[in-house]
This record gives sequence, structure tokens and C-alpha cells, in this order.
Amino acid sequence: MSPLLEARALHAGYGAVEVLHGIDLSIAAGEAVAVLGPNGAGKSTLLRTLSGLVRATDGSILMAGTAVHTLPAHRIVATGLIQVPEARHIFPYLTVLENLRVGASLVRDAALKDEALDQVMTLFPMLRDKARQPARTLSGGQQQMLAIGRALMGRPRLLMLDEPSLGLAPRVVEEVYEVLHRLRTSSELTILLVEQDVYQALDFVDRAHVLQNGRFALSGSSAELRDNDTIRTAYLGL
Amino acid sequence: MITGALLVQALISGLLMGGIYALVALALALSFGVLRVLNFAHGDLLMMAMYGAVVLHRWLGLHPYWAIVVLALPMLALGWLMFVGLIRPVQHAGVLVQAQMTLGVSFVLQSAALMIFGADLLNVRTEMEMAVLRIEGVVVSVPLAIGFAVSLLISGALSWVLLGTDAGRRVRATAQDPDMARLCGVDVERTQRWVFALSVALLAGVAGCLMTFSHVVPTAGLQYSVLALLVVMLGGLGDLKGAFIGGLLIGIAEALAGVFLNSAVGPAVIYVLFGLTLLFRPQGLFGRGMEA
Ligand SMILES: Nc1ncnc2c1ncn2[C@@H]1O[C@H](COP(=O)(O)OP(=O)(O)O)[C@@H](O)[C@H]1O
Ligand SMILES: [Mg+2]
Repeated sequence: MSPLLEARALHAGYGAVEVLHGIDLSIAAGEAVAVLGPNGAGKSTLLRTLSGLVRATDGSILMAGTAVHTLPAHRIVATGLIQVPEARHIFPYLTVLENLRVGASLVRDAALKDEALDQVMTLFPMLRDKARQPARTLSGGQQQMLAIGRALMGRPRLLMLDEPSLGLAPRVVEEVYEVLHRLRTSSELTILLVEQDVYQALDFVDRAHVLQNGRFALSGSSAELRDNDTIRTAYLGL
Repeated sequence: MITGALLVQALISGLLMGGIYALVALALALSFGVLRVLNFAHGDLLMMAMYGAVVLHRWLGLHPYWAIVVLALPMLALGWLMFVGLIRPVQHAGVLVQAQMTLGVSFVLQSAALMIFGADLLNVRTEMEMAVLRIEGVVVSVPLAIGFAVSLLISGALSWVLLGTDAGRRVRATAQDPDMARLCGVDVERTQRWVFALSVALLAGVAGCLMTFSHVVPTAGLQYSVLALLVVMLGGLGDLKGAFIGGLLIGIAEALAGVFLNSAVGPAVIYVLFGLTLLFRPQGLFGRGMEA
């Protein structure tokens, strides 16, 4: 079976500075894959390139058979490749409900939109309680839930999450991952996860890549990477 | 001698004029909030629409209120073309390049008006021009009061669209975080194109109201540009509620200055306030962020 997402020899960067020096990434439907790596390695740049916010200077990206590396960002969303960006980026002056509705910008059918809204609010009952509040009044954890809920409103096939645990209390991180687990099992969502919290990530995904200086330095299943000496010393502190 | 009645009179006239100013400012705040490009030709586009109202009256005998309806579409098209041809190419350039571009448009529009219409002051004679209402000794100009009501109506319709429709929510999302809006599937460039076109089309409404009692010269735009800039600075750039309140305040300040100092000083007050705002509150008096 051909993969859901396939990036080949991807190069990208900012102006004259290249950040990604040839990334090959392939994700099958139903998989959960992590990209790990130190600060500044290019993890966010990779997700931004897949989403079309940063232009690939070379290489190709196929999403569900569509070449998306030449599409504008809003058209890439339509292929089901949807991102929850680093630092959440909720719309602070929109209400919780409005944030969710903007997430469904490409869903034209009102009935589908309402259905998605109902699903998201069932997944996060807190969002239903706070529907009329400006999003900026939510706590960090609640904002993360909103950001995930907003992404789900776009009916993703592959959900990309950029450091969803960043800046959250351990208990809240648990909650976030609990939700991600439920999404994997109940909605057959494919997930690409970027994390600094290597423990959490390896527990959650099937396999992972370690990104260093714009290249994948190491790739393998979660079990392999957990036993890998480099990972154990550099990331797990063992 | 400044009496209480005179003061009330100035406050009311100022408030009414302020409602019209508020619409001018609202249109500028909207386009700045969504595009992050300050349009220094805003007042000159209004000046064009005012001449449009004069032409419609001379050729077709149309009342300026009809000009609001008739001019809205051409102004929308003009704004659309200006965005595509002139604004979009400099959108990611520096602020100075953007300022040069829109100031350039301002000069071109002024020169064009001068060539076509000459430097003479033009107006539309209407029967209602001098009509007044007397309420408890306060004299209220009828065209001014109607202009206020029309401006309020248009502003209200605009905020209904922004607050109550999916398209409006996408506009506000784009203003707050354009990249995030893209990640939600919003075509940001298209949104900006229509918002800019709309901000120009709104000026047709202003022009129709103004031409029932005011006049136009090729340089009329500057006053409105400065006024809108001031209001937008006062209200916090991109903040619509602030822009609206700011517009009302400017109208009142201008009228009070006319009473306490003299009527020629009224408009100059706008420039003085502008300078003071830049000095002391460059971040604006109210919040920011297009809460609408
Ligand atoms: N908007 C930007 N403009 C220029 N350089 C950037 C920008 N964003 C990130 N970078 C640079 O790109 C490199 C990778 O950053 P990033 O993708 O954010 O890494 P990570 O997410 O792995 O921490 C860093 O050196 C960073 O300084
Ligand atoms: Mg990052």
C-alpha cells in the first residue's frame, strides 16, 4: 500500500539559510510517528514545510497521492494534512466556539460542520462549557485542547502536533496524551508528533526519527530507540 | 460668550460628525488590521467618491444618497484592483516602501482630480442642505443627522458581518494570526483582497453622506486621511471598537475647539491631537486585536 504521506529529499529554510538538508519521511495510514531532536534541529521547520507555510526549495511531498509541495497552505489543509502548531496559536480574541468554527473553514456542508463540532465537544467537554468565552481566558492546557479540537474541525486524515506538551503541567500532559490515544484508536487518525519529551513520545508512537542539524540522524521503532545508547544518554538521561 | 446651550450644541454637532468620521476610521482600521499595510490614500479614495457623487448629481440628477448605492460597486472594484496591482506586491516589503506606494497613490489621485475637476470647490445643491431641526433650543442639521444615522447603520452592518458570520470570523482570525488562519484552511490573500476592496467601498457610504452638506476639492482627502490615521492610532491599530469610539471623540473635539477657539481652528485640532498621540500613546488608547 502506498503511504499516506511521503516526503522525498526535502530541502527548506528561511531566505538564504537552509534548515532542512534532505529529509525522507514516509507515514502509512494509521501509524503514529515521532520526530525527536534538540532545540533548533528543524522540527518545527519540517512541519511548517509539510503544511506549506515554509516553501520546500527542493524535493517533493505527496499527501494521499496529491503533490502538495507546490500548493498554498490553505489548499494543503484540504488534503487532510492538518497541523497543531507549536505554542498552540489559538485566536485569542475569538471565542472558543469561534475558534472551532474557523477550524472548519474548508468544511462547506453545515451538517458536517455541526457533526464535527459535536464530536469535538464530546471529546473535550470543557470546550462546551467555555464555548462563549474568549479563547485567551483559557488556561494553557485548555488552550492546547482547543488547538487540537480546532484542528479536528478540519477533518484531518493526518494530524501533525508540534510539541503539544510544551509548557504544560505533567498532569495536563497526561490528559493531552490520553486524548491522542483515544483519537488513534477510535478515529483511526494517523499522527505525526514532534516532541522534546522523548519518554512521552516513544510511549505513544510506533516509530520515530531523530532530527539533528536538518537531517535524520537516527530512525527506528520505539522499542529500538528506547534501547539505543545515544538516545539513552542524550535524551533519556540514563 | 460661551453659554451652556452653545456647548450642548457643539457636543451634539460634534457627535453627529464624529459618527461619519467613525466610519472613515473603521474602514481604515479594518484594512490595516487584516493587511498590516497602512493606506495613506484612504482619504483620497474618499475624495474620489465625493467627486463621484458630484458627477452623478450633475449628469443624472441623482441625490447623494443614491450615490452611496451606485458608487459602492465601482469603489469595490477600485479597491480590488488597487490591492492586486499595488498593495499586494509591497505587502512583504518594508513599511517605508508601503508608505511610499500608498502616498504615491494619494498624489496621483489628487493630481487626477485637479486635472479633471480643477481646483474649485464643488458641491451638490440639495433642498435639504440647510434644513434644521430645533429641539429644546438646540439646532440640529438634518443632513448631518441623517449622515450620522446612515454611518451608524453601515458600521452596524459591518460589525454584524464580522461578528455573526463565518466569513467575518475568518476575517478576524486572519487579522489576529494570518499563518494560523492559513493552517485552518483560510485563503488569507483572498480574504485580504476582499477586505481591502470592502474598506474602499465603505467610503462610498461616507461620500454620499458628506456631499449632502459638505463640499469637495482635490486636496480634501488629506484631512480625512489624517483624521482616520489619528483615530486608528488612538484606538489602537486594527482595533475596530476603538476606531469607532475614536471617531466620535474626534468629531466632538473638533466641534469644541471650534467653539472655544474659533471655527477655523477646528480641523487643525486633528493635526495637534495626531502629534500628541504619536508622542505620548504610540500604542493607542484602547486595546488592540480586532475584538470588533
Ligand atoms: N522564521 C525564521 N526565520 C529564520 N530562521 C528561523 C525561523 N524559524 C526558525 N529558524 C531557524 O531555523 C532553525 C530550526 O528551527 P526550528 O525548526 O524552529 O527548530 P526546532 O523546532 O527543532 O526547535 C533554527 O536555527 C532557527 O533559528
Ligand atoms: Mg520547534
